[in-house]
Amino acid sequence: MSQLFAIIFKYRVFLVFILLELVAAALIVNNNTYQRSVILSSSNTVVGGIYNTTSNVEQYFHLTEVNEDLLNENALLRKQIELNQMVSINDSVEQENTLSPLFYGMSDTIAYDFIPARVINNSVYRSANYITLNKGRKDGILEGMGIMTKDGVVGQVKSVSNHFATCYSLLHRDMAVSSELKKNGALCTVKWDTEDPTKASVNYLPLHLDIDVGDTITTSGFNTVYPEGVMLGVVTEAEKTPSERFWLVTIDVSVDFSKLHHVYVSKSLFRAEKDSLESMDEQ
Amino acid sequence: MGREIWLKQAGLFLIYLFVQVLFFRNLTFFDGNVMVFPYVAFLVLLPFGAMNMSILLVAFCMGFVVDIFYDSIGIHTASCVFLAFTRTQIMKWTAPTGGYELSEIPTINQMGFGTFLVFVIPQILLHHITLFMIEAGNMSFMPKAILRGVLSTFATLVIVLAIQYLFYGNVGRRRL
Repeated sequence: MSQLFAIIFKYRVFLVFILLELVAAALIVNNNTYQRSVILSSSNTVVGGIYNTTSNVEQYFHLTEVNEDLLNENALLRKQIELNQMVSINDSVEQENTLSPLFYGMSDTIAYDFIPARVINNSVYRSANYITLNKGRKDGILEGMGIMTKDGVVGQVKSVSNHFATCYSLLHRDMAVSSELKKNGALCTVKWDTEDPTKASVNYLPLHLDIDVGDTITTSGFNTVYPEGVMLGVVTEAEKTPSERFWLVTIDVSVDFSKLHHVYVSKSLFRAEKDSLESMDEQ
Repeated sequence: MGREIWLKQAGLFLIYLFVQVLFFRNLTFFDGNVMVFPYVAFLVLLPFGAMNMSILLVAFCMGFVVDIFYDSIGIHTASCVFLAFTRTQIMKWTAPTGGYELSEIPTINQMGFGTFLVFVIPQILLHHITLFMIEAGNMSFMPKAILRGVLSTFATLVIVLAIQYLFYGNVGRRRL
């Protein structure tokens, strides 16, 4: 017995090394479980607060760019107000085509609310990228909400603390966005498996469809994360391979993730209702 | 180990950590393929006399905190613990004939340029390659991960050497 203890004592460093590596491995493997826990992510109060402070300084360097963006967006929205007024005067114009993607959800009743937020931490060059926002539960943000800019889809909220939110970037290998081919509404899924922050791939487009370079991919609106018709990207490569049952499609992501400053969190007002109805069907 | 040394190391821990997450986190080259992690220098340059066990635990803590900032829970932790373990082996190779002065910390000044590189490069290299390989998480990205690890090692090494020349001063004279 004492010999056993002697051996354990002799190799104690190695044993502790193995133990610590196992702990780390467990953390990595169970990543998805821990993602929910706020304390281990950048939305915890201390880390979020530090990122908020640094981004408070940093944001001044982007003011010109941000102002220009807002100006463009304002112009777009003004145009839509004009068009909407025309619609109400002249009923023959089909309403849906005149609305910007951002407000498609509003065509009948207001289905989405948008919470503006500032990006205080962002990464682009890893295989699992995350974004931290400076708003949290106190501002009405909940897990699973969508994030977008006027250019298109940015990501989805992962975990929320009172004042911060950590989110999956679209550039995350586990992200999948329910989407459609704009020209004929064919359903597909956009995934980021390219390791290139400007490109994503589109899965599950059946071979009988015609797909050309330049076609637009938008969100489908089938889940209550994003409104329908939010831009995802434009097709740059479309390839048919005999061995596959689906097209191999690559898109140029419409959002420039390296210049992400202000975003909208899309809050579906009917999410609870829709989810409970759909889960009732399953039973 | 005197109390002063521990206080100094605790201060260094915080400095390396904050400089890493606030500054070097934003520094990437070649479309993000090359990143710098000079915070590992804290672990590499712990005093020679630090006990192996405490190095492992300190490495675990450092990796864990960096992981929280990087939203990459577990990845830096695993790499840092691995670094800490290999450090004890590498110290055996580079030990001078009389053994280390246990109260000293590894500096170019103290070890000489060549020995310092032999001491530092394998540790950083192992850490970076482990890091990128775990992060890639997919066999098809492994060659790229190794390349990224090697290139990032050079980038980190440049910064570690710069820190040596800036803060552990007057290297040339001692060596001659």
